[in-house]
Amino acid sequence: MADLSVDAMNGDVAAIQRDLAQTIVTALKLEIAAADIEAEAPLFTEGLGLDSIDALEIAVCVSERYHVQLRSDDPDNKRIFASLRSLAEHIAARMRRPTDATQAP
Amino acid sequence: MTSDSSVTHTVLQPWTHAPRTSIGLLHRPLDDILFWRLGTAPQRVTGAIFLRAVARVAASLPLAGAYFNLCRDPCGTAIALTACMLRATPCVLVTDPSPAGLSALLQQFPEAHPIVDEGAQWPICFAGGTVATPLAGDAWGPPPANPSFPADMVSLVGVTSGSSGKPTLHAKRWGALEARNRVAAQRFGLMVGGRQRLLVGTVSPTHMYGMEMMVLLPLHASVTTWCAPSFLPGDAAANLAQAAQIHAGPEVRADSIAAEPVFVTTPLHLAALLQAKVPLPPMHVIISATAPLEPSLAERAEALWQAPVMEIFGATEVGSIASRRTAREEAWTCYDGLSLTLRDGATQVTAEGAPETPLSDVLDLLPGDQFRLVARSSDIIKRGGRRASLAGLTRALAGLEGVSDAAFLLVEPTRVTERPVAFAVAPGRAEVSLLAELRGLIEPAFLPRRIFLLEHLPRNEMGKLPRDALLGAMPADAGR
Repeated sequence: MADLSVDAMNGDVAAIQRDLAQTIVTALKLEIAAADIEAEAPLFTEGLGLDSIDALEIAVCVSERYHVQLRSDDPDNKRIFASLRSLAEHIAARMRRPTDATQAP
Repeated sequence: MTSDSSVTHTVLQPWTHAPRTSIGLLHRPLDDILFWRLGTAPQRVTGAIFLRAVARVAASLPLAGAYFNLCRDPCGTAIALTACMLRATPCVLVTDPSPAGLSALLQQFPEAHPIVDEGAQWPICFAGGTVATPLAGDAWGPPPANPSFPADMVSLVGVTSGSSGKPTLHAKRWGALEARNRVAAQRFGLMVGGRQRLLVGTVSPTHMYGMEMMVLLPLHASVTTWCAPSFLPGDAAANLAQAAQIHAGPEVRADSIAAEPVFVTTPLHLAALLQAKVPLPPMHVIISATAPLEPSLAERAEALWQAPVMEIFGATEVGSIASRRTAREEAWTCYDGLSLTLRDGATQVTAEGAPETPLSDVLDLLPGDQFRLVARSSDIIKRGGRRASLAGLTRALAGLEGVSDAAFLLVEPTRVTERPVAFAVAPGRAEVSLLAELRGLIEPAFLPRRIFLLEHLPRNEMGKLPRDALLGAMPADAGR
């Protein structure tokens, strides 16, 4: 995959959302174009129909590409994993506050 | 139904003949910490707190019927397990708590009482309500008694999805579980009397591997299980980092807990941690099981984290039986007190506290209690600690309305995150609706990535589906 764009590196939500869509499609080998993932549609069960193993793969990609650690005991997970947009917003927020991303709660 | 109830009846018999030896529940001082919980008080579950909770839960269990252990917290799982033992009834370890999985089990155990973590919600309504495993309560009073149980008492019943689609039950006897704990503690340097170590696990306590390492080991070895989910790389890294700090914190005596935790994990999680490049603290040992560990993966993990990576060889029939340091050795070394013999074309395992049991895997026996693995029973696929048979998955798909033939295939069987693809002959049906129906029948981890709809499956003259023919039937644009 191409390097992260400057906008994405600066924590721009729209740029991260585009980049994240492509990252997920590539990592999970989804039969769908990145641009066709609906920003508001649920990532799991309905919508893209992802499961817990996919969540693990997404967490790995997010760590590799954005250096943000997702946590399964995060009380906000329902919101964070609700859609592509909410996940991108969470990553953007963590990239802007990098110390929160690596510290234990 | 007759055969079902006789099977159930046999498995639920707590012991088959008069008990001879009895073995204590805890082999540790009552002020040793067995479980370390986060968030809820008390955090440090000592032997004394544990025994009081066990007695309280045992007293609240309904008198008749079976008990389903639906806890997800290792401490809660241990309390539920031992409370049932006090009632001389083994609990059923529920590995698949989906509505379909629970329904299948309820057919075998119609009068089942579920034991759950405090505050847990369940989608299926059990007639008698649920029993919880709270820790809070009377922390004072005289030290509780450490109960003993007959060695040949069945103390838990494991469940796997059998090839017939019906749950298969595996009875585990107390003596065998305790003996396995003792040899595992010896193998991994965790014997009682040595330094206590925190144990962080990425596996579910309801999987037999998680049960052995995260639930039972703290009862008989010098480990304290860290009770927090560690499924994602970020979880495991944070939990290991926190566990590694405990010895220096104000909560424990400086000399009572060693700095380096034990990490209990799977090839899936090791691969994810390596790829995510998250830093881990120094560890005493990394233990892997549930799926074959690639030697190259073990080498990379050892090089990066400077800890030995030990792989456990287990079999559904008997649990863990051997280990190896995968980065350095190909041969497996049997656990002490356990022997393998070749008879009737199958390898038989004889272990302390358990009857002689044949293995379905093909082994090449070597001198000195060692062996090489020749072949695993190939039909079984495992994902993240869950298992299914390709035959069972195929049956689920073939049973859907309008489907006349079906097959499942692993395109890259050695890839730990591999997801099967499926093939179906189903005129008039769409892939998306078939997938939606399958979702209600099989565990999410085994849902096919794609269902390729074909006019006919490429069966050979024997009616079999050669792997190459199935691979060839995949559309050229289907990725791999």
